[in-house]
Amino acid sequence: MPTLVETIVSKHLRSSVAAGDEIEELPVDRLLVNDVAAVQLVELYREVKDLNPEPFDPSSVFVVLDHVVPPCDSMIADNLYRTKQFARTLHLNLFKEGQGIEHVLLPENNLVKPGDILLGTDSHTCTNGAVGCFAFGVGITDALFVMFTGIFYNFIVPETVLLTCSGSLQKGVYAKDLILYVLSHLDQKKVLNKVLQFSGSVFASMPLDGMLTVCNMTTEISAKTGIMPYKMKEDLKADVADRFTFDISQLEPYVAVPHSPLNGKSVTEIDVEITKAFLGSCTNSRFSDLQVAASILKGKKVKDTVDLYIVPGSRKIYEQIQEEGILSTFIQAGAVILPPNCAACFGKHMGVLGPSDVCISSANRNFVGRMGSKDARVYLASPATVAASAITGTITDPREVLP
Amino acid sequence: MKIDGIALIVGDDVDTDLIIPTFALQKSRDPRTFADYAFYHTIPGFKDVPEKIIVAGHNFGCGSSREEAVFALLFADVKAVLAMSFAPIFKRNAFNNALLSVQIDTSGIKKNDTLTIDVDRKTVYDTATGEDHTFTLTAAEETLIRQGGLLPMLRKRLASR
Repeated sequence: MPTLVETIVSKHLRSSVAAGDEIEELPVDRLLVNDVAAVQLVELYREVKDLNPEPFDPSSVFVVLDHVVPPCDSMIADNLYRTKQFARTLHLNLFKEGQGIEHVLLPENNLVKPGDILLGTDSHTCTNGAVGCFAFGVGITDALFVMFTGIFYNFIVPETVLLTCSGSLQKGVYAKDLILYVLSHLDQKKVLNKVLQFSGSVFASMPLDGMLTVCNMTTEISAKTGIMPYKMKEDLKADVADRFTFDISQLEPYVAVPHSPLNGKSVTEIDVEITKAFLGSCTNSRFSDLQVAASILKGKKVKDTVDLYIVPGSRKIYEQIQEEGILSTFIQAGAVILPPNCAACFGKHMGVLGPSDVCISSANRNFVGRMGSKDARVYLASPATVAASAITGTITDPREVLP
Repeated sequence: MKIDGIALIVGDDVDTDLIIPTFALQKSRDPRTFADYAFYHTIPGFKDVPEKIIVAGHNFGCGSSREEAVFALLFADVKAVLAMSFAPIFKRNAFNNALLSVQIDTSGIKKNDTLTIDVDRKTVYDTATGEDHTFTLTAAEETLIRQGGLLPMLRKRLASR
């Protein structure tokens, strides 16, 4: 029986495929390009412009200005100007500065559907697998090829690894803790370039926000992507490369320590003072993430030795937190509220770390130098752990402070 | 088709932020300039080491999809990358730019070994040890290496519409 990805690819080709098959031309439904990748993509476009290429479907090409907006220098401002010109000339679907982070915007606006094939010039394109689409990151040359042909050239159908998570999450333990735990307990060599297909009772009751968080981090172990059986039928007897089961009923809040997202540990084993707390990114900046942080920060103050940056994932989420009074809670707690964008997660602006900084972050990467200085130390955790730590000034188990 | 170079050893899990840090992206629109920042944090003077072949452990090129990582290596005179395994997006980007990236057992290759990669015979010859390592390429990968990457194929396709 086919896996989810085999089913999706077979439907697109109108013939049955199996893992390992080489597909000369894979039809793609949607293409995503962000402002950072766009700089070199627009340069590369000049190499084919004389042939007057036209986008395969302009309305299915999303250009999202989210990584370094508003621009922090004049070079970047000029790059953004050129990208906007490019998108407008080709009638692409342009998302302006401040509208939100690409992997928040697409699911939020139903721009990806179960069964779709989505490619994006960002490794976290895998996030969108939560809505049951086959989504993975590519470079700009592949993206240019897709943009003007609708085809991903020479695709090899990936193998799938089935990950079953049984049990339910305890209070104070979230989707982020689950994926940090799973990533630190998988053998990287067994999942390289494979699709991580999630299954199990925990996902039946998990809101979409949580499933997006889980799929978001599958790229950190160099999997091909992650996928959830969202509004789709999953065949658990499918022919997969491997199966792993995780009982998450006793799981505690989890933290990935420097310098790898795969270095997960229970929060109870960590005693570290912090200088920065970052709540944002395509991993954890959605409404429910900010809501849980607000429940911890309500009536409290961010420790005077800590700066807490909060970055809503989209304008819609920004509006929602304003309507629900969450924005006031953040302001009164002493957080710095930043406009929707990738901010310091990308390490270029809005809270970049210095050599002495220690940051607790709700983002996805803690590589050397990722958020700024190569000497900075970044710990990855759930929004609840970030909020709890911002109050105490040390990495804190959110179960100690949750109302 | 043969590629000669000197082994430069790196470890496991070399991520694309290490190959080219974020702060260097968007600094220039000229892809050649990324060579100045290749392995900026970890290997000083990387660009100036001539005719190098990177010899890596597992999971080379993990992390971000930034194709600037490949540009940085190409313009810093990296002739090829040999690794125990590659992260999928990096490997794809490398072939799309005709940067040969092949999987072999790299554990026996030492710093500064002189290596000869024979693309026709699919072998890596280590002059220092006399050892021949064989590798495989898909037909598409071989085409990309011989034709200079994906862009010429896109041009050909667009021209024949």
